[in-house]
Amino acid sequence: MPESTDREFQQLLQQAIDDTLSKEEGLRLQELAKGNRDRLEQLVDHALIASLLIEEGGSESVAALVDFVAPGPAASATRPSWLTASLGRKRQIPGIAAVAAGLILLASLVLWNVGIRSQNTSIADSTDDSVAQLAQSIGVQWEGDNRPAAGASLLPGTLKFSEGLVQIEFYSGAQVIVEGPAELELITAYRADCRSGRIRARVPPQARGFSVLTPTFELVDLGTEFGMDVAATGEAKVKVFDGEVELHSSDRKQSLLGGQALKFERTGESNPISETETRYPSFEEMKSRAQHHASAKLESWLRWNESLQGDPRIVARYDFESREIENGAIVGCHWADGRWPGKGALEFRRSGDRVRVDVPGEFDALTMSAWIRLDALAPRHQALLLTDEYKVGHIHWQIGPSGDLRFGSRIRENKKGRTLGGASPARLFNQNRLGVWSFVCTTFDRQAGEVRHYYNGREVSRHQGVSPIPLHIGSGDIGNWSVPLERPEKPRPLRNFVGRMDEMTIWNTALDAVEIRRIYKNHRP
Amino acid sequence: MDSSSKHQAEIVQLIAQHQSQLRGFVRCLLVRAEDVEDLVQEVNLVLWEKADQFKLGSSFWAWASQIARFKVLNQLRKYGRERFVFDDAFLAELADVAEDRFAEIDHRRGALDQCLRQLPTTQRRLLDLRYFEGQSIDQVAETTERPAGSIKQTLYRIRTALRSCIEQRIAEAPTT
Repeated sequence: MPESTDREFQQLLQQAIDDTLSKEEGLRLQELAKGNRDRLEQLVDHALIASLLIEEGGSESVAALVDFVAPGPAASATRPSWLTASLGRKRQIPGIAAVAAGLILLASLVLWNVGIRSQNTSIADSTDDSVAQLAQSIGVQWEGDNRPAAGASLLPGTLKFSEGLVQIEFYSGAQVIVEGPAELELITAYRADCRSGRIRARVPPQARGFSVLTPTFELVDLGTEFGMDVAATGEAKVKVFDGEVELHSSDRKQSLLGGQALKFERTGESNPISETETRYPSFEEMKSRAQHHASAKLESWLRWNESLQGDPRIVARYDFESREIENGAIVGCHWADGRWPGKGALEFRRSGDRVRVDVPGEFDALTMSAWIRLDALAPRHQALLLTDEYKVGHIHWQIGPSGDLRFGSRIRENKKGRTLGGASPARLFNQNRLGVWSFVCTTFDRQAGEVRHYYNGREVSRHQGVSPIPLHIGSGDIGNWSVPLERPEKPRPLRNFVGRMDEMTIWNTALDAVEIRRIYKNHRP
Repeated sequence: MDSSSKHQAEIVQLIAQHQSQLRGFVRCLLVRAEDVEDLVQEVNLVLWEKADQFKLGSSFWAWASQIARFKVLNQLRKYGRERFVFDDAFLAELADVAEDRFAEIDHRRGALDQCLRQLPTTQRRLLDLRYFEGQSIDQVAETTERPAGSIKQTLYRIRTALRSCIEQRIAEAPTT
């Protein structure tokens, strides 16, 4: 092959990789490479190397990475773990930085198809091991490590509390109220072990066979409503309100019908008892206590909300109590209940849902706080507050693809320029926290050169970095990302938030941990 | 979660995990940089639509790259002659080579990691500007105060050097 065509090919290959090929040059390249395995391999290899560099480059600078280890014979022998870790992170959840719009579309498809309401769709978890949901909890004093919030999915395991009432919805359909002191182990969607506590259960026909173990017997439900009062000593009472249950103890099986009640001794001996002797928790009582609790919390929140008016630290506040909002416009979204019935909230579902905001000013310190109920995880970002543009000093506050809380502000004007801030540990939001109201808060302090993330009043991470200029917001979106007016360029990747939000506040100061904790404690649902 | 939604969730996970591989594959077909994301998007959609044809536990990449190949060729055809200059036979040849390369992509990636270390600092700096910071050739030229032509030439040489380094390492590596 003549040398001149080799040179010509190399020139065209260069241009192909640099993306500067004209149509005519493309055709010539094709002519030179077609049927020539060696040249085809060169083309593919150059494209592949460029691609690997681009993909890897998203996570770490090549120069920084390589300079990190002292070169030596040992370094080149095996791949050190730090390299695997830093490059591998990018690889495990690749392309996060520039996830294709298709994947996002895909994600939203999946979210709709699989069903957001079931809350079973977790991208981070490929399996769902939960067996029930905690529908409500009132005045509960938890004991032990498992302290689920209302709305949370419940994995198999023990719930222990010294006082209060919880309502558990098993995935089988069985509804159970438990009054403390109680210790209950959830085993499957059809089975629980009650070591102590007072229970009321409603078991619809679909959940027939739902069973509760106690220290002295096992109750198997045949479609009914029943109550149990189990003492830690092993004594227990059972009452059937409607339908039929079977009671299996070591020596026998007996059936109990609507209106009948039985008392078990520690020994396992059982005797019929008067049916009015024991008070079992009731669904009506649960409901009225829940309402009472919620209205008290709402009242306290309303007073606090009032007190914030005129607080000079507040730059913008969206309480979603009224459909007319200041400094903003609601686009799409549905009105919904917030943390408590009667508290207004916006529900973001469709990809276009957003609140357009305009927040003037420049900030040497900033706090963004919001109460959100995330309803779905997606392999993409979900916006909390995004400025339309992402230039130096602009802010992007969002939930990352791995369920983290992240904040970024560009500090250099490059396509992939470095950013201030960072992401909290992953899986802050996981399957068990979908559908649960959470308080997210991020502070920025330019002087201290620090960004901190808080989740439910607790600091979860801090990130050092100096911002070259004060931060600014200007026009942006809550719950989405808009194309700026001046540059209606290519459509943006979807970043829409999926869930509810009932409050967002932007403060011109970095709130301290104590105040953040107090806001959380006072106004958690 | 029922088994079909579990299947769906796993497919999504797999698609998400293979995004950079898909982008790399698409780039190997020499499509314009600006079209890469759109094409990957199209491929993702098809993968999702055909999710029920994929058997969990079998090779995701073998399945996905076949689908990607046909989808990309189809899609490129729709772009018209101005943006799509190569013919099907040539693209099929490129795709064949790309499939070979991707079969051992982890080895290549590992080898690249090693080879990058052996580059002189100035060369690493160039790669950084171009690929990590995403600067155009002209921007890199401006930053480094060197002519654009020379930047292009150097980047080409670096890639060529990396290529032979990768090949050498793969040849030396024990086959697994």
